[in-house]
Amino acid sequence: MRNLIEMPASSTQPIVVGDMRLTMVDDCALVSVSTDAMRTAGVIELLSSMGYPLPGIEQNTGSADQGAFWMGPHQWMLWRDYRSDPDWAAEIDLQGLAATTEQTDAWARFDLSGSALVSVMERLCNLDSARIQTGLATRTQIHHVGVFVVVVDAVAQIYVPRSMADSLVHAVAGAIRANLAVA
Amino acid sequence: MLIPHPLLGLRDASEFVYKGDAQLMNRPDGFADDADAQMVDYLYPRDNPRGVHKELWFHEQGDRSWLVVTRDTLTHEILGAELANPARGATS
Amino acid sequence: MTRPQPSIRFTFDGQTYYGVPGDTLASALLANGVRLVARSFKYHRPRGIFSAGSEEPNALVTVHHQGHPEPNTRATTIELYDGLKATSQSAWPSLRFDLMSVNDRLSSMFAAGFYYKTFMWPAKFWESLYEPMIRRAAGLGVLSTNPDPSHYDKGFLHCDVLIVGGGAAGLAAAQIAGQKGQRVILCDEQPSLGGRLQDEQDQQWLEKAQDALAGYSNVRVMTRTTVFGTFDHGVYGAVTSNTEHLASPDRDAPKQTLWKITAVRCVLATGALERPIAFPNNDRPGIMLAGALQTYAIRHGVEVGQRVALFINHEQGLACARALQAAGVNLVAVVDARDTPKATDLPHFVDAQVTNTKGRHALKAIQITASDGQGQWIACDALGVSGGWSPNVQLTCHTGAKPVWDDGLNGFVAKSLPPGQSVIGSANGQYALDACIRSANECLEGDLPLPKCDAVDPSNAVALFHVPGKAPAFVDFQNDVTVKDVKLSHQEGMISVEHLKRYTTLGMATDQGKTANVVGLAVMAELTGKTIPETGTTVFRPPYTPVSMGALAGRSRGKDFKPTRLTPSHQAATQRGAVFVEVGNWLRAQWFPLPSETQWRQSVDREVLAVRQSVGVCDVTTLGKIDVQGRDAAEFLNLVYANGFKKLPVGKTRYGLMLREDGIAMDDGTAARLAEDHFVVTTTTANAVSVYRHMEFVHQCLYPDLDVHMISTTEGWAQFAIAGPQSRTLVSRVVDMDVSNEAFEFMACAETRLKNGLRARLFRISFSGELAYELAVPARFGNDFFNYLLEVGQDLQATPYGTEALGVLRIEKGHAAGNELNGQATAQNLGLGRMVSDLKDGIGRVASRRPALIDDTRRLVGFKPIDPSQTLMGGMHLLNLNAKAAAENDLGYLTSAAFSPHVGSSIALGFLADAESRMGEQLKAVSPVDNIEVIVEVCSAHFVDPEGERLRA
Repeated sequence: MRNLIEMPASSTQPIVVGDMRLTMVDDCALVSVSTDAMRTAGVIELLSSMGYPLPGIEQNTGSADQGAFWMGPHQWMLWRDYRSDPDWAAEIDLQGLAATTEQTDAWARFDLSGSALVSVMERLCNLDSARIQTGLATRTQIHHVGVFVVVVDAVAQIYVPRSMADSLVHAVAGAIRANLAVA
Repeated sequence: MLIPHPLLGLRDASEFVYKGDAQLMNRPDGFADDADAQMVDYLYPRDNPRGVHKELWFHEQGDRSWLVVTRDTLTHEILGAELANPARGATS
Repeated sequence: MTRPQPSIRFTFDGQTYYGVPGDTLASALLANGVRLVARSFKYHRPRGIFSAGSEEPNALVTVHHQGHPEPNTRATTIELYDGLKATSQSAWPSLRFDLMSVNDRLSSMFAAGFYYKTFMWPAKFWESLYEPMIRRAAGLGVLSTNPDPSHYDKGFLHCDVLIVGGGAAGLAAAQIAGQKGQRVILCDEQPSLGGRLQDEQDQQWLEKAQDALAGYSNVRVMTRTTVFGTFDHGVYGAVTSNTEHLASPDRDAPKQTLWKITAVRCVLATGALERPIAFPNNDRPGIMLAGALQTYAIRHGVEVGQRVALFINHEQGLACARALQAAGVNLVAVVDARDTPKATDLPHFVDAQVTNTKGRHALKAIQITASDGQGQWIACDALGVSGGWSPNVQLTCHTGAKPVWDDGLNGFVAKSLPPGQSVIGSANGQYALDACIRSANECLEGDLPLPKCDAVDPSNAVALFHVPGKAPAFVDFQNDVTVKDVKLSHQEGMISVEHLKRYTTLGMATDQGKTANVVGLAVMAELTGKTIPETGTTVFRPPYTPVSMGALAGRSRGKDFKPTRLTPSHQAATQRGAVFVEVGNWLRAQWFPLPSETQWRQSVDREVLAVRQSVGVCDVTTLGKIDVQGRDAAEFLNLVYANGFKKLPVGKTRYGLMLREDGIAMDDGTAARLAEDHFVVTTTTANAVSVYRHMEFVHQCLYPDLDVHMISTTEGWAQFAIAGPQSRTLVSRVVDMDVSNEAFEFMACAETRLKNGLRARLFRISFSGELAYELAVPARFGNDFFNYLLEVGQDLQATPYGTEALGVLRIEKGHAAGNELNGQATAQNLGLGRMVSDLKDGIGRVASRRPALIDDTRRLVGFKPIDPSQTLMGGMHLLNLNAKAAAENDLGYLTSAAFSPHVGSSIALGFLADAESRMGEQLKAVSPVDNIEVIVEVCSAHFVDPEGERLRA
């Protein structure tokens, strides 16, 4: 059997307008980790030793290539770069302290950056612009699409359900252009 | 409308889905002798207070916590909100 | 008066004029000597420009932005740009010669309540005659029926302090909060800051304040931005006009942006609105608010008239007179209703009133009558009127608070305020510059220095709202409501303000009575012999000024109304010429027409037969998939499903029926047990979100102690149904495992690998009734995998099929879907009553045993027309052959219908009373709406393979 061709979540990007840039990061592997209050400390310890210190509420810890963000109580998403189709959920051994679910193909990641990041985000989601700073991880809505916004080094990583990637790109592109036109 | 999420602070009501009276958390035991009668009480009669009301809201576009929100139906003032499952708020 | 050389070209009613930068359409028209700009709503009386702001009741025009007409736009807020085109409204054939002005002569007929009195009978004339007639005669501008070519945007802002109004008080507040490092948003509806300070000769304080604000990066100044509504918990609505003042705006620039502002606190510095006085013939072009005269004369340098008069009742009116005189206006009379010492520097007529006016298309003279009854006519071409000021408290009222009357201020002020809101400056009756700054200091604990001001005592006024006389005295200019109308409605028994408003329409339409409400209330009070507070109050609702529907919609228009979800195989389906259908937000392939097929049924029949005879492939990714893990996962599924899951072995899948707690079926799907503590639950496409929410409810709210973890994986897996007698052959070519019947029996599931090593999940489940599998691969490979399956299955006639064939196949098999899970059906109705386990306390079990549900004999069965050429439709009702089509004879209804290529006729599923005993009977299926009647035979819902041999093969 031949290898299958990967289909990008969206082929309508990158969007580059002035110094604003929206790029798909397709080589991003994801796994969600879910535990409970009793086992959280153990999970934190294990993942920390694997290079994924777990962040607190609505926070992320990490770099562009690897990290973790808070999804909900006792629940995190880990990201790392994608080499070949991963089975990260099975690979990661949390000694029965947490449930892991492969999320690599469930979410598409788009990185938004540029000097107008804050004013573009203001046109997209009801997120207090003061919070758009490295360390943030929050769930919000962009034009009726539920997304995670994770800010790392002045770049907003936007995680969108894969099927709505084109809709997200369309919305962000519209906001970038509108913002530039009225600036 | 803003809902004071116990973990996340004030969040816009548009991120939430409303369910109804917080009494819905008191599901009767289906094997009780008077389960039928209890179930009718659970399912249908509702207080419709002019004033303080405890109600369930789901933070669907957020952390997916169910909250019990105390709201004044007359003034829309929100007097408080707590996690339906307090264990979700525990840090260790 | 200084005015630059006019350079901006514009047209009004086809006539070309020129204005200067900074002009509004109103100031430019006045500068060009145009007085007559509109006809009134009911009587078609000539009207001019009355104000200099958003409170304008008269000067409504249609502006043609980029060729698109926007009616009912206030000339006083339209910023002039080169090429601006505006036209007058509600006059025919022209403003100057308006035939409808005959209404003015017949005004007695159009008095208060005339609709109710005049057009009573006969009722049938209302729609055909009266309404069209009234609409033509009385009305505002005409909406275009073309789509609005502009685009709009939305945004969200957060701040510590939202300051509404950029006049003296707002500027002071912004400086104080800015200095403290708070995040400040300062909004003003006008293009420039300053409010009424812009109408003063002395601009020193204003310039300094603006310079100071420019130094604060934490202060965001938003001009051309109207805060139009106060909403619960510190949320405010605002609209910014981005391009309406531009001759050739950037195509990417939204015309307006709607902002949702969340503010910890809000300071209203919204100023005050000047009040007119209702005196006979007070509506002639040339009569305007005194403050507007000042704006036009000083801010715009317009010569407002050669002989100008004022009619005032308060001390501040004299300051206005002096400011006008200093600006070079030729004041011929200052008519002051107060019995006060005569000012020596002004043509001051004290203890006097304006009792009539002359001039049809423009003011020519006013009659001044002293308290002793002595009258005189004085020629003048402009009259400024000021009956005092009404603090602008609208935004304090939007969440239900009512303003209270302040006798000292002669106006309503806010008393109870929405949480987090404060009112300062003129909006709180603190009028002078120093008073505004002082109130800002007090509100925000600031210490801005107070400039020296001439003291003006706001209480040095007489209450004067109307002047008696024979000729009409207008209270509400926009709705043509006169003092006489208010009297009449009082005589006719309208005792409350709310009655008055509805009977006369006072305070309605685009200006919402900004200049009219208080006067109307005062006249009503006088008539009833009550005080103003006893008579009532004026309550305001959002929006403060009209908000266009376009702004409210933002970018959610047309295709962008909602997001579009694309299935993993979308591109491959497109390349194969698929026709798509919207299923919720999803776009799914409906069928795949071949070039030779000219009619959709040809494609669908072919796809159905391919599944029945060889193998078909369908993208079923849209079905919800929820990953359920944890020690108590099986226990949890036992609660959410009506049937049992605890004994389901690992490697097996089970059909599951979810009930609502009231015993009605909610959703169905499958749960596959991948490990002791790991299930994958599927939901219907439509209920994916609500089932996931419900499961979280059951866990968090009802059974929080269960160890369960849920997360959606719908998007992560591209899942394909591979169905038909050849499906095993096809599946065996791609998966790296033994899929023989022995190794992988019906309802088996496995986490596996494709032959190329890719992760996959395989389920042996069937929706079509054929031997079938569902095979899932990581979503990004779904598109190519779909192509690959069809490629390697070519010799097996592997055929892509869409939702339409999927529907036919499941109807042929008698599987319930959304049409059957319709919010009314019970497990029993669906023929699944025995699935509801009594061994556990599943959601809905108790209520599903209610007599009312148990006694319901309707069951899901099949139907075939006796005449195979006839067509069945969902929604048809079932009756005995000889029964009349009436509700009491109803036996049930059809839920799903399709043409079955397998049966060779139309077939249907439906709920039928006493269905078991009616097997083989003939009934009629009727659609009274379509006037169709079809004789049908009752049969098993399983049109295909009733024994289920194929799917176990």
